[in-house]
Amino acid sequence: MAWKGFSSGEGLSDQDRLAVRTHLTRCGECREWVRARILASLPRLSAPPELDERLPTECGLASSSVLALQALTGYPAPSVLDRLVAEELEEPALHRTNRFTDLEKMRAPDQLELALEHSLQRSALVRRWIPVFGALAAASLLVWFTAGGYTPSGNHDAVRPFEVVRPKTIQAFSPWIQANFGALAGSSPRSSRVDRTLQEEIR
Amino acid sequence: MSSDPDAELVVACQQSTTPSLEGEFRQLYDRFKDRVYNVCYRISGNPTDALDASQETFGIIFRRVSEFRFQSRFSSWVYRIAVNASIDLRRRSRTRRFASLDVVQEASSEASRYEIQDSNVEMPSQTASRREFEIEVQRAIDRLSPKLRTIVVLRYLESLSYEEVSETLKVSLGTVKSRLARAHDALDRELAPVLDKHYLG
Repeated sequence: MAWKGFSSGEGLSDQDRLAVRTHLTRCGECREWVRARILASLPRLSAPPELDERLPTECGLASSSVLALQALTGYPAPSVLDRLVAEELEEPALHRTNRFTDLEKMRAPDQLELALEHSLQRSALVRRWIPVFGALAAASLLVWFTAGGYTPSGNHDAVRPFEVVRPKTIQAFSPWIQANFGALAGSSPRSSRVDRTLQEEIR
Repeated sequence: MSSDPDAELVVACQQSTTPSLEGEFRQLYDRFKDRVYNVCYRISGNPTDALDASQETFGIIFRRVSEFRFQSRFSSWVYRIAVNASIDLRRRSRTRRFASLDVVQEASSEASRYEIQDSNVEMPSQTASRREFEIEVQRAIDRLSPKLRTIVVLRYLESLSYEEVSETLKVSLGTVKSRLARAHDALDRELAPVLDKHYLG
């Protein structure tokens, strides 16, 4: 490269470098030489190929690719088109039907048969066991009723497992309930006011 | 201008009856495309804008070559169009360029496309150092004002004479000299770190 000759400071002592810098600040001719040398060392660039591609558009002309497309020869219509158009004009429905009936018949694949067989087997199994499960359920219900599992009765008091008490005064309650009354009322159960209120409410 | 080396081709272009990219205009394009691209690249500072500016330049040349009256060299006219297109484009895309780091990346990748004219094989470290150097010099040019940048590019990179620069920029010889003097001062300031780093270690 042009600048390689003085591209490295290798071999220069610190003193030399300082001397070069000092000289360059004083000597316009050397500065000009160095400046020109540095700038001239920038490489020449080639215009990129993209510029060639952009040129036709910029100049308002068709590009080579457009010209190439325009130069393409058209394909002739296939001869079958004549017949299809003639049929369409003559009797469209009939010819369309003929075209469809001429279509190749497709054969069902073997997998379809296998899948169907599996499906039928599963259905038969389910159908066989449903009456058995139904009979078993009915029998179980019958046994339960017979054993008294269910006692229909209109008198609910008769089967209650606890005794209903209807006290007239608060003292008729157990001491534990009396204490709870007192706590709820925010005072001692011995309070006559609470007693009265409760008694009134009970009454 | 009788001494214009492009005169014959330009006249042939002007006499062409149908506008076409083949023939004379293609010859003209091939003759100038690298010069135009170089000027656009060095003024705009990045390959994308350089490509856009080059494209614009050749579009203008194609549309207006018939109006060229040989009052200057044809190359001066072409350079002037390229310079104006690059400065305009750079001005338009300044915001985008400052907001993006792509410029630096593009500049780095562009360096790999440089044609190395030296037949000696370089070591990778030398190649990397050279690319770094080129990018730094380009940045130094980029930091100059558009007027000074243009004059530096035309004078030092395109090696135009003072007269040719004067003709291209349509300014007097005195203006060219004074602008170049200002460009030298600015360039010396910008290139001092490059010189220290790459030459004086």
